[in-house]
Amino acid sequence: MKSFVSMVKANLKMQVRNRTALFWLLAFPAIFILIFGFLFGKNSDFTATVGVINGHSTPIAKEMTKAMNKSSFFHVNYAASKKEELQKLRQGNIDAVLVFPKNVSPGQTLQVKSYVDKSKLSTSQAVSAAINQVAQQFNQGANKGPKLVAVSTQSVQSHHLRYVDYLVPGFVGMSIMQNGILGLSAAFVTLRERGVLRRIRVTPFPLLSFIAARIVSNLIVVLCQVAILLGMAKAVFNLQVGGNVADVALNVAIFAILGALAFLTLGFFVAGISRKVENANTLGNLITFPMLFLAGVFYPLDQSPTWLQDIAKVLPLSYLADGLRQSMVYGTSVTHLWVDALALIITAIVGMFLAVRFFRWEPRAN
Amino acid sequence: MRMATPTGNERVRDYPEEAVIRIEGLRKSYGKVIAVDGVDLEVRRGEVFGILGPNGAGKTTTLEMIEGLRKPDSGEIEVAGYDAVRETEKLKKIVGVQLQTTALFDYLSIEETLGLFADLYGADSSPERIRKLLEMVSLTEKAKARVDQLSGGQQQRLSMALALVNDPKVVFLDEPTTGLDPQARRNMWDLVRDIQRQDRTVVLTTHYMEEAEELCDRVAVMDHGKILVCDTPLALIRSLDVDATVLVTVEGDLDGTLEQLPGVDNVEREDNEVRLRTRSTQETITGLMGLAAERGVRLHNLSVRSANLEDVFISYTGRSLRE
Ligand SMILES: Nc1ncnc2c1ncn2[C@@H]1O[C@H](COP(=O)(O)OP(=O)(O)OP(=O)(O)O)[C@@H](O)[C@H]1O
Ligand SMILES: [Mg+2]
Repeated sequence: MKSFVSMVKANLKMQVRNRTALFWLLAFPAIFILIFGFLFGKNSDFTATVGVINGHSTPIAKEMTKAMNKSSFFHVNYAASKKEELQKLRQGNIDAVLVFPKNVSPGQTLQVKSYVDKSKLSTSQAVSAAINQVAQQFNQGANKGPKLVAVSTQSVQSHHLRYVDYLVPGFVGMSIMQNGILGLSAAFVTLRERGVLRRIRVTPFPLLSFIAARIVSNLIVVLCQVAILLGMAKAVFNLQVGGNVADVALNVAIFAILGALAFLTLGFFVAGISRKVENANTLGNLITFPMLFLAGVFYPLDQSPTWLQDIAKVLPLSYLADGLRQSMVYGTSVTHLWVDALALIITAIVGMFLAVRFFRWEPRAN
Repeated sequence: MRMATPTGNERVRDYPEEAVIRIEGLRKSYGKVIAVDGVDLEVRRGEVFGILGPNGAGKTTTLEMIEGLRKPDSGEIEVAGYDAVRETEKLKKIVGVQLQTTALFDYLSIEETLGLFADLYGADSSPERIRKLLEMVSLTEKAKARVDQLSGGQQQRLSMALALVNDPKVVFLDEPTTGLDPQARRNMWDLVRDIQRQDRTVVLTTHYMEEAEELCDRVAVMDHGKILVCDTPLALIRSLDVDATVLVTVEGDLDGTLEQLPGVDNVEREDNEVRLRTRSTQETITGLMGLAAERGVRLHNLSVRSANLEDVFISYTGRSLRE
């Protein structure tokens, strides 16, 4: 145990003293977040298109849809056919369908049904939260009387989703991916090809412990990295925190760890099949590069063609970015994000299998 | 000089002839390359044992099989009572290893590196112990320096200290002086003698015959994966028919007559420089003087080099060690 702790400590020291690694770990994502944050932080708001059925049927429905239309967040489409609108929703052309009743007796609560696409967690929750917020405004006046409006979707507290709120968690996820795959594989190939691993091998310290120590120290680093980057974004751009800080931190930490595990194991795999650092970098970039653009880190993929969305569904980064975003911005707990969590766990298992299969301790004989 | 006696390492000095390492029929090939081709060896407790051989002789492969780092194709290796193939884990605790090329962690200081490795061995990693190790390899002033700030010789000494960090019974040093200047090499020899004085057995490889001669109690001469001969340096040299090599610069023509001089086995010439390998220095020199006077030829720079391990190697392989 002492040897394990000692190895972890040594790894941490090396990480902190390695300027290049620190740059990629902190400075690069921080600079990136700042630039994007200042460019898009204020204006470029995220909008949701909502199909509204019976939007003119009752006074309250009229008021409510008008209020929604005024907010810069919603783009309201008055429509007639519920069936058609639901179809559009399924195809991802709109973000929600709001169905008002045809008529309502005085004194009765207006029962509104809201449909969102649960598979698109980031938008669906933002939209339902925003709808609830609008409905809330109508209920506030009537303290004693019955509620004017009741929207039957899950209630999530949400404010305004800005582009920074969307971008920052995804970008942090991307950084976890790059440090997991590129950072780890380069470091490990170097250790192996220079013969450091062989030197460890002649000590009684088990090789598995060496790997485990490496993973543990990497996870510690990742947690610090995520805390620093998100903390910075919170301080500078008032990044949205969707709930009490402790819960959000816990959920974000869980996703950071799952994501790091998924990408670290892939990093070990890349290290195993690469002969030199340059090979590891090339291969690592080959794996990570498509994910940068296709995993919805920079922009939501809801508006993109379905085939693109299908590609995103097999990219682990989509799930990490979504998981981090949901838990950070909307305060969703991991239990509701089990799809994201499961996808990352599966990636980690596959990665582990590949890592073990292609692992080498010895430099490749020339 | 003696270090604190570790627990469980009983030092038996009553049987100086006792074998610590026993190797039988050791073989290893890499594809078509036969790296080690049937090696039998015995290393005795407390000795400095040298494996002398040219590049590619199979020294490293042999050593690393004993250390448990490579798996032999066949053969038996026993180190301090442990089977080196099947009981590798136990073996690792009691042997110290300096690999031929040791790269260490960048970004760690010398003392941190020693401390880390002491912990990996489950050995004493207290500051006092680390200080002692640093003192021993004369790196005390460099304690806080990073590994990549050390000179080649200092790195060799650090990796030597790493080989001692677990207070081992047997220490393996793979070419501990390659690439060092003569002064640094001599310092390293002193260090090896210090290690021996601490009641440890040392097995080292080298391609320097002076080193094998000066430092080793016994030497195994290795070539093409085989041990050609194994004995004390003196016995190896004595066993040769060669007494010495006479070196001389000849101004004039003595061609064809040098071979006939008494005692001469072999003549090599390069321009005016002549080398005579002789069984009898006295007879050869007397004969050479007579011949020179008779022909009116002048001799310069006459010197006699007594036979050494180089001659042993040549007599077994027909090649020089440096080729
Ligand atoms: N991992 C390996 N894969 C393939 N061939 C190898 C490997 N290691 C050693 N060899 C070959 O085995 C032979 C013996 O090599 P070894 O390293 O044991 O020699 P050595 O005596 O230590 O040489 P040197 O003095 O250059 O260190 C050489 O021909 C070498 O090319
Ligand atoms: Mg070698």
